[in-house]
Amino acid sequence: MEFFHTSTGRMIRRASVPALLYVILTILVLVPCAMLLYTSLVDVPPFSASRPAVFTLKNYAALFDTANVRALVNTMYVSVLGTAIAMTFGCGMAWLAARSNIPWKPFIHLAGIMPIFVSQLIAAVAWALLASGRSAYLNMILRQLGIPFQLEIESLTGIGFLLGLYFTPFPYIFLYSALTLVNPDMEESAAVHGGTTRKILTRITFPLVKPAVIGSMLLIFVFMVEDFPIPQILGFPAGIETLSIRIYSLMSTAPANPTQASAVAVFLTAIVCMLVFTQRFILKGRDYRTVTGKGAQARMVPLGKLKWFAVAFVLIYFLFAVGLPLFALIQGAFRPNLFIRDIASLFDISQMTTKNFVNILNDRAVYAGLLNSLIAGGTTAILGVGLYFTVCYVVNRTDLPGRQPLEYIAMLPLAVPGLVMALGILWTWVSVPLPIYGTILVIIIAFIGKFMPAGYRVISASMLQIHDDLEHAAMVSGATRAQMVRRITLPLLRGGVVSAMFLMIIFGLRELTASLFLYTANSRVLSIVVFEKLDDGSWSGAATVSLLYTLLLAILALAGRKYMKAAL
Amino acid sequence: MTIEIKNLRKMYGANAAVAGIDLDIPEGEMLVLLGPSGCGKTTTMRSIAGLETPDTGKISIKGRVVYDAAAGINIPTNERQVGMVFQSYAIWPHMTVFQNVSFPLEMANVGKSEIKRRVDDILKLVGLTGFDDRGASYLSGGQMQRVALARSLVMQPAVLLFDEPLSNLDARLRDHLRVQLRELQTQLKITSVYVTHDQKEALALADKIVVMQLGNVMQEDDPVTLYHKPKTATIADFLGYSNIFDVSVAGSEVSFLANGQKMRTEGVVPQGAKGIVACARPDDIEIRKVEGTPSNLPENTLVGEILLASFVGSHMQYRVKVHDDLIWEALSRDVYADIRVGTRVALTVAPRDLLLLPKE
Repeated sequence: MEFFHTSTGRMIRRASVPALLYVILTILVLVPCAMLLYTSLVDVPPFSASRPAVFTLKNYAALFDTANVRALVNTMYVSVLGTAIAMTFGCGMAWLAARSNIPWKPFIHLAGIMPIFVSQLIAAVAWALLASGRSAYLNMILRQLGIPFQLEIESLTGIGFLLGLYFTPFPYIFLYSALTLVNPDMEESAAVHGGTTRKILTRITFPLVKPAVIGSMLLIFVFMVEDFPIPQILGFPAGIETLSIRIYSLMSTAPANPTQASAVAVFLTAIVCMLVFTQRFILKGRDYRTVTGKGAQARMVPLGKLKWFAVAFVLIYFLFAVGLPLFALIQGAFRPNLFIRDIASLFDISQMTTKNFVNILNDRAVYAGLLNSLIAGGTTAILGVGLYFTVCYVVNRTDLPGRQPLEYIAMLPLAVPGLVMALGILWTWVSVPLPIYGTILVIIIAFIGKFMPAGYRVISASMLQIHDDLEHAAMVSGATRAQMVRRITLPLLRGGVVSAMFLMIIFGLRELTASLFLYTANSRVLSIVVFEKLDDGSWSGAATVSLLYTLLLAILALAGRKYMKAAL
Repeated sequence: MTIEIKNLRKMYGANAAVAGIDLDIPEGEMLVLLGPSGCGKTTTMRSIAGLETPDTGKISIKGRVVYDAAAGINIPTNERQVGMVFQSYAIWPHMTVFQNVSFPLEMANVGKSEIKRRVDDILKLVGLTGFDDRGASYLSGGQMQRVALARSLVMQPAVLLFDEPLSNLDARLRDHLRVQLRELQTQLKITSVYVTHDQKEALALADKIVVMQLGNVMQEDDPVTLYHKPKTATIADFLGYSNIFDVSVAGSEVSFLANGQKMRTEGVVPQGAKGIVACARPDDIEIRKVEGTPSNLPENTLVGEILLASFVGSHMQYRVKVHDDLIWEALSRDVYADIRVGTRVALTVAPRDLLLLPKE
């Protein structure tokens, strides 16, 4: 009896940690999904207590309305166009940086990665300044040069173009690492057996990195299908709707129709899930990245006369993604109004003013937003990374019961669009009689759930690099599990943990989508401040806050660069 | 007995990694677990350390039961008082040599001055005096291995476990450290379990060798006995008996099934075997050149033609075809003998060097 007793106690003790993690992950991920599904199937949203909800399928029937079908077609158009643009720039630059003798390599690499840290919200604002309407800077320049052609970024093509620009870093990073990991021996042995440079490229190199190409292509397609900030800023004023914008307008335009918004959200999730599973299926067992060499220097393909075309290709991308938007923000921030007469006045210092900065620095909403953003980002970094580390440790380093499904739940937010998750979180916490909805807490909860796949991956990647013998050696030496984690595991994982924290802070500061669904007067974050300034028509104000905001993100990215390099 | 293992069994799905084995290791001796990869030797050792939880069985170390499936006892690794040297060395890269070696003493709450004294002593013993402040990632493979050894010795463990500790080193260093390890073990008299797939290492280090295969113990003997009297053809093959041929036996005379030629043996006919094989080590075979068709050949001699002649330093290695299905390997110390591919030679095996073993 005695032994029976102790072993039962032991089982309960062992099960307690996974059980607690299940509860947390369920609240963060599964309950919002369930609430959303529930809301899509009833006729009144959960918080309206005037009468009991009645089950109905009419929200799904309404998916066939003209507006919803048009939103679906628009979503596909911008995603296909965006994917084509991002793959062209991303793969092109990755190959140039990894396998050609292009000059200025550190710059090429920077151009490929940096746009990932640019806030889409700010980029869209900047491009609206550059290329929307007669007074836009680029249109003014075109007229001055006598070119009878005007740009309009607030269009479907404009949205697709911008999506393409800002998702380029994903194929770049995927393909760059795949190309650098291909063992040069494989190409050299092809050369030894008589392959020409061109044949080696088409028969050996490209097939080896094909999984990375397909993988990143499907990934960014998913991201674009569910993207919110770019279509919102550029499409909403022009009456153009994608599925995500459709959800937002159903929620925010009177008369609001939250239950139908939920049905559209479920539909969007279904599309995304299908794409994610397609990606998994296609890539199954086809990841050649493990076929790595001993880090030998790969052969660089000489570009010859094409060298300067290649540099121009990268420069054009950099100009579109970073240079022009930054220029537009500076113009917008340092001018009393948006109208500029001619090219000469673009560079006329006497027309510039610091009045906007004085206004912003006296604007208490900006300070409140900054403070809220820092609180949300910082708390997410600490609590989130703590949670991700714990889940990752339990899954990878223990034999506790029920640990494997924890990983699937942690990765689930990948298949749930950010704004869908936000909507689910909204229904969840509105229904809970706790003082959480309407505070910054609900935004933090959304962040921790939404960033879980990214944070979990960074930590598990660095955890898997640590041989478990290192931990076993500590246990054999007499260390308890707690002593081992503190003295061995955490110090060895420092890089991964710090880089995950930096990523969380940057993601948190950039985030607009979930915040937009969840903020109230007391919990405006910085991105909401920019968004509201645009809503008020204050473009100079929006540009000024955006410029300061970009500065903050750049400083953070620079500070965390050393750590994040390993993660990217 | 320092370590007693009873009916140890560990399943992975439907496969038994360890299929219910018993082992006893006397105080101060080194037991080597020898076998090909996947034979269950590493699982057995990790079960002693508590890094693996067996399904059934009982393990005790120095009279203390550390695992007993029936009684529900499973003492955690950190309370088992075992030292272990890992195949990957497992030297913590964020610590210095001193910090690595002092870790077990810190965990045991040993006083600062005592730690200093004991770490100094042990570093001297393994020949690493003066390396205290060296970052562990700046060490060579051999040095790392010594730090790992020092770290396991410093806590004066009840038993010391070695998981193929020499397999990541180059051949010369491996020979050197093997000798040192044997020296240290006989001098300190620590009860040890050593896992390897290298027969040379096993023979050189062991007081007793346990040969494992598919989760079972196949043979358990001291190195000299094992070397001369393997119990099965598979063990013989593993120990370097490269000449293994199907035969039929009549009294003390064997007849090779390949071509019917006969030889005399002093080997004992195994009972109840499905088939019988005759085995001989390549270094027990005498080889010399012959011309034409020699008439008065000595007893137990076959004539054949050289297929391969390869100089391996201390020996010449030959492959000799007596018949298409009867190809012998031989090692000869006479490296100047003018024997080349195509040369006709005579092979002689002494009757006591020709073993009879059951075929599996």
